[in-house]
Amino acid sequence: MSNVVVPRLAVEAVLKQTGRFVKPVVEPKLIKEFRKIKEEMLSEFDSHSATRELVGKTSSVPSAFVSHGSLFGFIGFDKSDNPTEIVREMLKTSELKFIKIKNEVVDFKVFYPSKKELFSATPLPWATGRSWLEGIESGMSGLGRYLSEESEASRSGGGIQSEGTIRSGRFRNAKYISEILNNFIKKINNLSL
Amino acid sequence: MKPQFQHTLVTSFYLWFDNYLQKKGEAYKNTTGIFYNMTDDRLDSSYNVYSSPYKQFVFDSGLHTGVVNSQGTEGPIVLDRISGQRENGNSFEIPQGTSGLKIDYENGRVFFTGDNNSNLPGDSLSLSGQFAVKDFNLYVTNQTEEDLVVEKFATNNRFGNIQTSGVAPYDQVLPAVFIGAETIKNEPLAFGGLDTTKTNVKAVVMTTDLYCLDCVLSMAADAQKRSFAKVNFSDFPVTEFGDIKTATYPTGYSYNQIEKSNTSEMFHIEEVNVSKLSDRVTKKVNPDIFIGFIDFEIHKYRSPRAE
Repeated sequence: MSNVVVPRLAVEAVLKQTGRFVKPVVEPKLIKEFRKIKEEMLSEFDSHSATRELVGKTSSVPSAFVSHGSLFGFIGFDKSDNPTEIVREMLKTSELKFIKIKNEVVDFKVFYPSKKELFSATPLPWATGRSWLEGIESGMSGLGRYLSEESEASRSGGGIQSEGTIRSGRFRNAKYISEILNNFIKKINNLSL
Repeated sequence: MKPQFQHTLVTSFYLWFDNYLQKKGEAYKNTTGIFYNMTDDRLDSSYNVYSSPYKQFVFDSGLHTGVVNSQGTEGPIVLDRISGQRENGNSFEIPQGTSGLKIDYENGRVFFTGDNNSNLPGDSLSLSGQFAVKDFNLYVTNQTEEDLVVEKFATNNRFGNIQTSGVAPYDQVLPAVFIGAETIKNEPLAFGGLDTTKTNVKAVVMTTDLYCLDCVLSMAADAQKRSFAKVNFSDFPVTEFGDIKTATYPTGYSYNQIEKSNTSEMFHIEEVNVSKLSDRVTKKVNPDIFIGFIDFEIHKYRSPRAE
């Protein structure tokens, strides 16, 4: 049998069109996988002890972060605040977007909030230039307790009821949003069909 | 133990920030002031101690530029002599380094053992001198932010009713900036063991003057992406007496000179965040003081395992 020679230009012409045919097949699968990873990220966020304590607001169980009272009260949130909501909303905006087809390459990009954007959106109630979300990871002082104990037996329900000189104790920082985002990025990088 | 990276960083940062406030912000006030006789149990009894109503004095002689600035001066005056009158009315002048004269720039005072003729000057001299007092004292601290905010520091007034006695030595007084290195982390940067050492330096600014607080916070924010020179721990310019190390700086201490000669090893200010303590908390803990926080992230490229 004689060799079949396909002209180079013909191969190139076919390759150039590959992307158009690949995209409709690949995209739904990618979106499905992406949604799964995103759900895992949100569930990791929801189940993190910091999120649970902030959602719970009060100190019914011993806190993993502060020795007295609740994390919510330590930071100095108002009872009506739902601090984790904005973080969850921002994480929820993560999306997979089709960008372009170039020859055989179909280009998708994943958009998600950066740490910097998340930190900017989560100001400490007593020092708005700082982020409580960052503070959970790097540590923060307990000045928020002065807000919690302000008026009507602590509006946040979980502050420390004390006068002036008693310190709020040491804050135990922990990996939080950085770890969640890192896990998310790792899964995205390993995503295969 | 010999000094480590953190000592060098804090020394370098302290001197840079001090210079930055005074040079860029003109955070000082030139004045002619009286020195009042004081006692200090921590000093040898051979010293006669005279203290001004202020602390800290500017000790950077390189800031006197010869160019008239917004204050109408040519820069801060670094105290290098005192003048006065004896009980018998005779006037005298003692330059730094003679008659055992030491100038404690940190505590705003002078002490000496004798006059030009080695005679003890006595306790009832009338002494005065020209000096620049910093608008913000600068302290290195290990106290937590919360402890600093809650602590009731005395205020050493720079304006208005100035006290007519010497300021007590050693105590930290306001207005002041307290600085401390909180965390250090080495992150791999390149083959061959080169790391980026990331250090978080936190500063707490405390003052009775909101205008001055805004000045410091604004200047600090503008310091992002600046670099500053490395100064070894042993080259910190003042002695245990608060005086200039004349052996290290025989012609006087000048940060500008250090900056010019130390261009190879620099620290880089990657990020700065500034914030004010909310009024609601201030009113509860320290109603007469305005408080701000500055978070510096400082980078240094180094090979920690090869040092």
